[in-house]
Amino acid sequence: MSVQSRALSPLLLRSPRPALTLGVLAAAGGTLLATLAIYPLERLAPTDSLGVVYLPTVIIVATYWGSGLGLVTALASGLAYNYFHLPVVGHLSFGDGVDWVSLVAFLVVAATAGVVGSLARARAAEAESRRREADLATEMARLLLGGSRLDAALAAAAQRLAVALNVASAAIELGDVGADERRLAFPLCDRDQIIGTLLLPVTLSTLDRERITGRIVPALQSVLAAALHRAELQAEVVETALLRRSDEMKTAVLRSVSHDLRTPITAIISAATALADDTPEAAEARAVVLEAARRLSRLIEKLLDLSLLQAGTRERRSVPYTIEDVLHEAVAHVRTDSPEQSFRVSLDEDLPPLAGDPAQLERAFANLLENAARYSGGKPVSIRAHGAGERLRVRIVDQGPGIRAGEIDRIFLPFYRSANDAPGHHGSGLGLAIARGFVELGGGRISVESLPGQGTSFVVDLPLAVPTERSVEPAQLELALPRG
Amino acid sequence: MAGERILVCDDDPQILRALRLVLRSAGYEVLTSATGEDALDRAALAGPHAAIIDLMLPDRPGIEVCRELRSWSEMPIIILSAVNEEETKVAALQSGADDYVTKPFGPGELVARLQAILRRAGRAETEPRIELDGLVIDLAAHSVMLDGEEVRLTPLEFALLRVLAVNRGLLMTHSRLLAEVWGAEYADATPLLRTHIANLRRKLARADGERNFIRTDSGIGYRFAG
Repeated sequence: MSVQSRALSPLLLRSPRPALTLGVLAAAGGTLLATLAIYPLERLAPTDSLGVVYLPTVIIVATYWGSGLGLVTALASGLAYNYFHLPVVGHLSFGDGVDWVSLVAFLVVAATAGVVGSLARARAAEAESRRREADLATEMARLLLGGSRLDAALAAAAQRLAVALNVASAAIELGDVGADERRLAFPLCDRDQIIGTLLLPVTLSTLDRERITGRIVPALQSVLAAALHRAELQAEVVETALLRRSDEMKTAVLRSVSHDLRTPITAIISAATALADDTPEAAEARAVVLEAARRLSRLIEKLLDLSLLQAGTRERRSVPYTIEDVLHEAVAHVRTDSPEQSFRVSLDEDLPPLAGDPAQLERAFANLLENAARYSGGKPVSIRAHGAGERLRVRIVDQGPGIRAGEIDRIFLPFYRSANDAPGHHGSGLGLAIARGFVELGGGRISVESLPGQGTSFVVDLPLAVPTERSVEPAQLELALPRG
Repeated sequence: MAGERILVCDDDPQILRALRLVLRSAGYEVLTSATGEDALDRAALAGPHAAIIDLMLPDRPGIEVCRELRSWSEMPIIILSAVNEEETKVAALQSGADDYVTKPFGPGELVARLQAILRRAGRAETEPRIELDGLVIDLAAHSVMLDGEEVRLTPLEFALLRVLAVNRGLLMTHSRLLAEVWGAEYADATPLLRTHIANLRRKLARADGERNFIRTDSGIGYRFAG
């Protein structure tokens, strides 16, 4: 509101009219004043033209109190003018044209001013009601979006709505709630779905009902949709924070356990290596300590890998890598019982890059290779990688005794060992479980094909990296910078 | 070569005792400390030639000790870690470490890494020729022979092999290799590096496919076996 309009505001038309008594007093007083005022004015101007002195009263009364009282004032003014001032003074006479013209003029002015006043008042009333609705919508938004708990906010918003609509009670409930004998139900929708219901007493007038469906419901439903969306996001944030905290704890515990298990093993292996082996007994003792410590170390590594998989932390690393790097390292790291064990790696040229955690995949393949070597009886294990549509396929084939059909489903279970295992077999029963765990964690799949007596083939399918804008075309770069 | 003073910092007394044995038998003089603070004091007072620091120390993180040491000293630093995670390794390298060894490690591995970083630290300007397990790299003549046969390399492949071989045994991160061979503006172009490493490996592979000169540190870098 500007300064000017605020100054004028007492004069503005308000939707409720001023009291009728005040109007009658104003009409009577104004007419009396005008009648008296004409006496001194008669000396300055002809009496016939002084009828205008009554007009302000007629206009004001008609504007503020309506056409009805305006017409009465006009009639009273006409009669007073006729009786006190127009010839013949002291009588009501309608013989002359002036008598009629003045009376009719007063009536027309009164009617016109009354109509203009009513229009202005109606517009003021309309503006006022819009303003209240806007205030109400703002208040709803503040209550529903500002609070921390939605149920409390809904109760406060309903209370505020009850006051605004001047009803005894109102309720906003989530979901689709039906009407009953005491309450009307106005559904609140978001994209064709009922997200809540506004409940109001059945005593509501038809006009109010129309106003509610036409104006209040649309505003309320969009605010409620926003509030629900916000609550959903908040819940997600809380859940994510909880999960992250639990992940952090698991990771911290695993790290500390890793440290506590790996440190003494390292000390044992280092100290045993430094032992003198100048007598056959000492050499034998050193070899036993080293071998046992290395076996324990391998078992610890596997248990830690399995714990990592079972802890199920969600944070996954994803970096670009090539299967070539991973397979070469897996071959280099694999520990076999037979030093003559050979691995034949054959890779298709131009294999597409992958994305994920190469270190985990390296452990998966090292476990698969270790398993294949264990059963291959010294025969070479072959590793082949080739593209297969949207995936990259690695096949690890051994020429071992194969797996019986009944066992195939169980070999990936932790601690499962084949009944065919030779005595003194040192497998932990964890390798394949870890291999499958890491492959699946990276979005890949592992399967096994085996024919007893003919060997086993493990098939690992890995998803290809989705090309990103950052990825660089090697050929182009080399053309761009022939250096070296 | 031997006789250098090595500072070992680990809170586990058995590791300290075992490493003292191992490093002494490899001919090094050994200083030990069980806390980060003590390690920093000893490093300042005794002037070791290299430091081996565990990541988990009772008073402060090993990475912090490494960073502080690096702020005033160029001495080679190897980080000992019981956590086999790439992030940890990357963080250790960024804090100024030259290499890391993950527990459990064989003492041979640790000594080899130590020798490699000490060799680099005290290396004479350039070697004209590197010979390794049947592979002969003539840096002056730009030629490579494998088991007496010439290996044909592109200029980029030769540059890459030279950087790797000169720093043999040392971890060379992706960005460092890219910067040294292609230039600093290519420090992020790992796919480019992978392609050339793959080609180089193919050309250096023997018929039996057994010898792997270039080892991968997954997601971090490469090191030349040696």
